[in-house]
Amino acid sequence: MRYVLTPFFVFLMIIGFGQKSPDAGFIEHLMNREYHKEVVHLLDEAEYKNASPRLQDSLNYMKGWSLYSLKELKRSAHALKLVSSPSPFYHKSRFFAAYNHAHLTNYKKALETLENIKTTDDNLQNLKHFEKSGIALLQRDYKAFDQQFDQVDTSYYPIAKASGNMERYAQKLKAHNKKSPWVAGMMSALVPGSGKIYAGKTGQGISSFLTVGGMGFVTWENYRKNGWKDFKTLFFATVFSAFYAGNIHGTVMTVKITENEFQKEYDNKILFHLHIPLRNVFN
Amino acid sequence: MQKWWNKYLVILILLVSVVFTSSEIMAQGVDAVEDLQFLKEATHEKSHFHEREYVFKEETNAFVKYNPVSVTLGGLLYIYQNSISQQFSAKCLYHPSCSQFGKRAIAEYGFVKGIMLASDRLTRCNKVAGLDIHPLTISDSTQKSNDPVKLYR
Repeated sequence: MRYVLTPFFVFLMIIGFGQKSPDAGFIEHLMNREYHKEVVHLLDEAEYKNASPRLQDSLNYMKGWSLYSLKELKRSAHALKLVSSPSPFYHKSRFFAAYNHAHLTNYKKALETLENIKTTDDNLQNLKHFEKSGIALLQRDYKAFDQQFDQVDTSYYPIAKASGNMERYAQKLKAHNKKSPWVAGMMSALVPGSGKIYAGKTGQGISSFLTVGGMGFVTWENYRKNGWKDFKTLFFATVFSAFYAGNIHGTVMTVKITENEFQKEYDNKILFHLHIPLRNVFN
Repeated sequence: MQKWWNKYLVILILLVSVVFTSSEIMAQGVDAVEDLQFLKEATHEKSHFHEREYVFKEETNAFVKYNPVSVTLGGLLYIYQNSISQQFSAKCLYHPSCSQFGKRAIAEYGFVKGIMLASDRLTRCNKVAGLDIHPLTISDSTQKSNDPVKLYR
């Protein structure tokens, strides 16, 4: 009887284990077909802590990559950082984890992740310096940028073009002068719309000048013809006052908003050029 | 005997039909609800008929809510949004729309700053000023420039 039961229980155990550990081949197939939600769902449901370290690394990489494709960058960085150094996906995972942190404006973690990458490869060291220089630029730390960028070999073809752009962005950011909200407000008080032109919004300045100036003219015309006590004069004077004051206040806010737009635009450009070399090297 | 069988056979068939079709109806019902919810969410931002309430509806301060200036201003905005604006073919360049922006600005920052922000927004809502809209502010879902009142704190 036991000769019959023992193989039967062994068979059941094999089936049981087989059901718990996910099929890496199938998950890879899903990932290659860009069924990223399904990959994440399967790996969230699966338990693979008891799987071999190699399989665990592969599954963590696939989960991290799918989350990255789904733009769930925080979870992606966490999964990618679980990939250990013997894995063939180690370097790709760490570099992309650092990039995810940078995208989430968690620059400290991004730099830590890059710092902890173990490599003796010159090209990867070069890439590491390049990524660090980009993160320094995102922090607007020009000294750190110069230090890191000096160590980058810009002739290395995957980063050649991106490094040229990065240098250009650094120069533009260094040369950038912030506009004064006070000056802009004063200018708009003297000539409506001129402060907005000073802030860099020429179209808005012209539009404000025409609107506020037009209302001022109508008010003056009514005053000249009918005097202050006329309803039309009072009405247009009220509307003119609201638009005049609104234009000054709007100009002050425009300086702040334009500055934010400028900084955000450069952040996006830097992130884009940090991303391109990663795709060139690892894809 | 024949009649007895027929009667119960009909009832049985009806019961079985009900059991099978009800599960399908329920399944369809869930799908239909999800589809409707999806459509509602997808079209919510583009719709011309959302958030058109009286500006001081949620106001707790009775003086602010019922004083003649508030009633006149709120009433005019309400009439504009629900009767006049819907007749225009031209659409605002920004999200939220100028009237909605004005309403929210008054509700959030009070009458004086709200009016100043709304008047400034009106001077920016034309094709000349639209040339300065930054591409990064354009939303994928609404195809309009995101310009919420919280930017003006």
